[in-house]
Amino acid sequence: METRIRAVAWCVLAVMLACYLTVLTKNSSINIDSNILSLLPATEADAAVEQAFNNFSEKSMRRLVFLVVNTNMAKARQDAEELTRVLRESPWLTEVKLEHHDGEKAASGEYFFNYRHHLLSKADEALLRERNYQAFSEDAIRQAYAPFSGALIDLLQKDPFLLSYRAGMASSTNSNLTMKLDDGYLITQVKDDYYVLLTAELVQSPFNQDLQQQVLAAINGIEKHWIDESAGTRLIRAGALFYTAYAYDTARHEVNLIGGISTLLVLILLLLSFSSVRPVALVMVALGFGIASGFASVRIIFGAVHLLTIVFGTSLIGVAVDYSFHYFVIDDAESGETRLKRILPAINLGLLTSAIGYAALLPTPFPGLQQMALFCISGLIGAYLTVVLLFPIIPLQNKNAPYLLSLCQKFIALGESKSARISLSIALLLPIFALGMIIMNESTADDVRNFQAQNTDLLNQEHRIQSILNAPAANQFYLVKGSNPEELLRNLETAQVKLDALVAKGAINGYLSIADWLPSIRQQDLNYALYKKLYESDAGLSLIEAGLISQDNFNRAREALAQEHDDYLQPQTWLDSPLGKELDHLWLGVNILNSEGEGRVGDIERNQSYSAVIALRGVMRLDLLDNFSIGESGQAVFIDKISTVNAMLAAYRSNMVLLLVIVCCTVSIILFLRYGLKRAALILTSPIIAISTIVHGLVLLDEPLNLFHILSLFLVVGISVDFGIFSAEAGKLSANTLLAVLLSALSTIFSFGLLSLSATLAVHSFGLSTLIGISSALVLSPIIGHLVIKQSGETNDPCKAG
Amino acid sequence: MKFISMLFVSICSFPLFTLGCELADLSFLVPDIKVQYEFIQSKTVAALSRPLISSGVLGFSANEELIWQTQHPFKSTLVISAKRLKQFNQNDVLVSELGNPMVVELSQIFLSLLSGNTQKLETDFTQKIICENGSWQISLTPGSGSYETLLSLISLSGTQYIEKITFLEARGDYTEIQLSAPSNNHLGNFEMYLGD
Repeated sequence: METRIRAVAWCVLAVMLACYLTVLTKNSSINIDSNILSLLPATEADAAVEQAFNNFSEKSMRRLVFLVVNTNMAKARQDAEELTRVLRESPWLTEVKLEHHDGEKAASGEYFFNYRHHLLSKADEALLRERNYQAFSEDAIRQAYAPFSGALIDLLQKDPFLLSYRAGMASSTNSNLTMKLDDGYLITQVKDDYYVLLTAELVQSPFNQDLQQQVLAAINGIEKHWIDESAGTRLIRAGALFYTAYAYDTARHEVNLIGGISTLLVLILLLLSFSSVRPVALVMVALGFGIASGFASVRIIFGAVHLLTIVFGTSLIGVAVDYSFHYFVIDDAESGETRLKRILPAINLGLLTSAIGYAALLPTPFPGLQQMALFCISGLIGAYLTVVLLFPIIPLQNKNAPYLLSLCQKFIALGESKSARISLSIALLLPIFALGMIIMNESTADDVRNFQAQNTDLLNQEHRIQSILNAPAANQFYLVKGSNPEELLRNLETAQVKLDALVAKGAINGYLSIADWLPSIRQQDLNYALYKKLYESDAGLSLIEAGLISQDNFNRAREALAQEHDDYLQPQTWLDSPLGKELDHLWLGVNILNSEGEGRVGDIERNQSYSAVIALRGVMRLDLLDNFSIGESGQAVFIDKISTVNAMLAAYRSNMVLLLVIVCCTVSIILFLRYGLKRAALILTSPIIAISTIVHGLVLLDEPLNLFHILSLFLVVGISVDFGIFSAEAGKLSANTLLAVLLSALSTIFSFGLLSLSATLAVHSFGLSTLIGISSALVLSPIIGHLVIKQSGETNDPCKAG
Repeated sequence: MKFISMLFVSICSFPLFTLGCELADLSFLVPDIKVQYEFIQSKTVAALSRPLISSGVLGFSANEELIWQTQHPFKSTLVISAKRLKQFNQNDVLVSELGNPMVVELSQIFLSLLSGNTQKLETDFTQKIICENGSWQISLTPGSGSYETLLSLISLSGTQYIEKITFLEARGDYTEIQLSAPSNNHLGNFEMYLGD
């Protein structure tokens, strides 16, 4: 009766879970996240800085940059136009920009004309401060004699010193493009190749998979067309989209391949072991229920499930089926209830120790690790509940495969042999050597980029684009704040002195700051005052004498200057200008936030904080870049997301080691309470030697230690302790018990071990160390199992492990 | 103005007896830095009541670099090679490597004409050549959109050498360049602008 109630309870749970997942699928709100940044914790202590980084990175992540390359300029242009047409058809893309239209040029001309008395380039400022006014008139005369100068001579009648033209030229040489504007296209020539620039923006984050597929399909289609055409056109691309799509594809491919192979191998193993379909089907049910529980709880708590969580989660197969194995290997029991009773203490303890291991990851600030921990804990509980609630009601008539049993018997005999005990004694030296290796070996690799599969081809393309465009670094920049736009701009201006010093020292090649185009009101007043002296000088007379402007027109221009004193260039006007639109990612002020909503606006408005980014070009000496103060209260904060996160990963690796020690201690106490000192110590020998073997293995394979190796140790400790517990609970080391251990170890190796084939270094690291650790625990299991059981019999005898 | 002079030079240097009334048949500028050509340029612009007059000298090096030096009313020197455009101020200080992209492009056209690469001209311009009584005239009309917006017509005329170049801009302004026969550059002052 009780058996039936429990089975019904399981069915209710299963139906609830199925309904929840069905609803999610129907609403297409499964929410699988592949954004690498969502795996990372907030790294900046200052919330405004963190938000600024998020804003900046979100904007940069939506940007796509293409260079269409051909040795023939006309063909390069033509193909760039074709690509533009294709991209403009996509509903996922906006601001697809190839030609720079006349309208834009006119808008730009009008803009510089309107603010000609307030904008001043650094070079011109130097000329005016030296009172070299004739330089302005001489330049104007030279321009007038140059070809096609008609338009400039027209302009000269209203703007005698061509101030708007000078500001426009200075502005374009300052901008982030080294490419020249040619007939409306941005083209550059490197050796024999012409590069035509094309930019676009995604309407959504690049992590939307529909977006990824459709945009990539369009681009691949046109690339294939170019290859078929064999006119030599190539496409170089850069953008977060391409990396994301690649990482996503790799991960999905791995889930399919590794998950598939793993499931297949486990199935074959089960069929061979039990020569019956029913256990296999039940294992699948336990597994499916486990994974579904893991997925559902992560989805409920986190709102989305990260792709990497699923990759790790599919490997849950290895652990979740362990409970089933122990249940099935008992082949002499009459009913399910008897089986359950026999294994319940062991699987209770197993669940407890594994859950402790994973729970240790929950307090870390890494959302990715929290997800994985939650996924594994709820998955394990799901599998456990399936065994406890559902299994007893299903009648079983399986028989353990005799050849496997005899193999296990031989294995047990080997474990009891004297040579095995000698081997164990020698193996006990491993931890000492391993400790030495850890101290001696300082090769570690804590790099956040390991989270994602790397594609060298894409990296090369991006480097090519960066070198051609002289594009600034996306992850390293300065952030400057101010309580209002004017203060922000003044701070930016002050910061430039320090930045120029950094350029002079060779720390950076250059920088990109809004202050180069948008002066503060204070600076605009200074500029205006300098221009006023220019108009008062005799430079104007030179122009009149050269016959370029009449005295009347010059007088009118001077009157215009007097009237325009207060016509300041305001931030919003600059942001709306063609160049402002191109560089608005550097401006993180409130106006931008308002347009994007997102509910963070309130905070910023309360704090009245305006911020802007100073992008850096060619970071050469990272060690020289640090925060610096501006004036009395301001500060330019150096943000280096990758280095910061990498430093944090390294710190976490150290903290995880400490956490692992704490977990081992907790497990030791639980084991001590149940089994006493000697048996607890014996059971712990297995994980300690396993960890030491991993350390040796990694050193031998020349793999630098990273956080993910350490993370795998939690799993290795959990499983290898389980082996000891099952031996201790079994009372005698039977072939059946060892079969369960063997199946458990092999299934773990099949699932986690296969992860070592992953292209994502993080997953590979996790897989490799699990493979080494579990293999070691498996080899040790008969020896330690034998000793543990011997201890159970002769609790008074001294431990003979040594 | 500068490329106009260049063009002038180039056509100046076509000796008449090789003139087969085909652009491709013409011989090109003397690639000798010791030879110079004097020019006078007159530019008429709608906004100005009188034309802008300037004058100077031109030279062409063996490495196909064209030196275009305005001497009056101010000194300014332009050096055009296949890949770059350098500008020197009155004190012979290099002031810029690049200018208005369209000017760079047009400069390249004249350079390619001078160095015998007429392919570019054939694709972008429609040519008309008239030979009559020992004098000749070439008219180039831009065919492709990129030059049409700036230029309406380039016309070159001469007898033994090119004597006149006329530019008619799309906006109505026009420039006339008178060119002298080649002479020795006895000052030898062109070398300083060449090389890197």
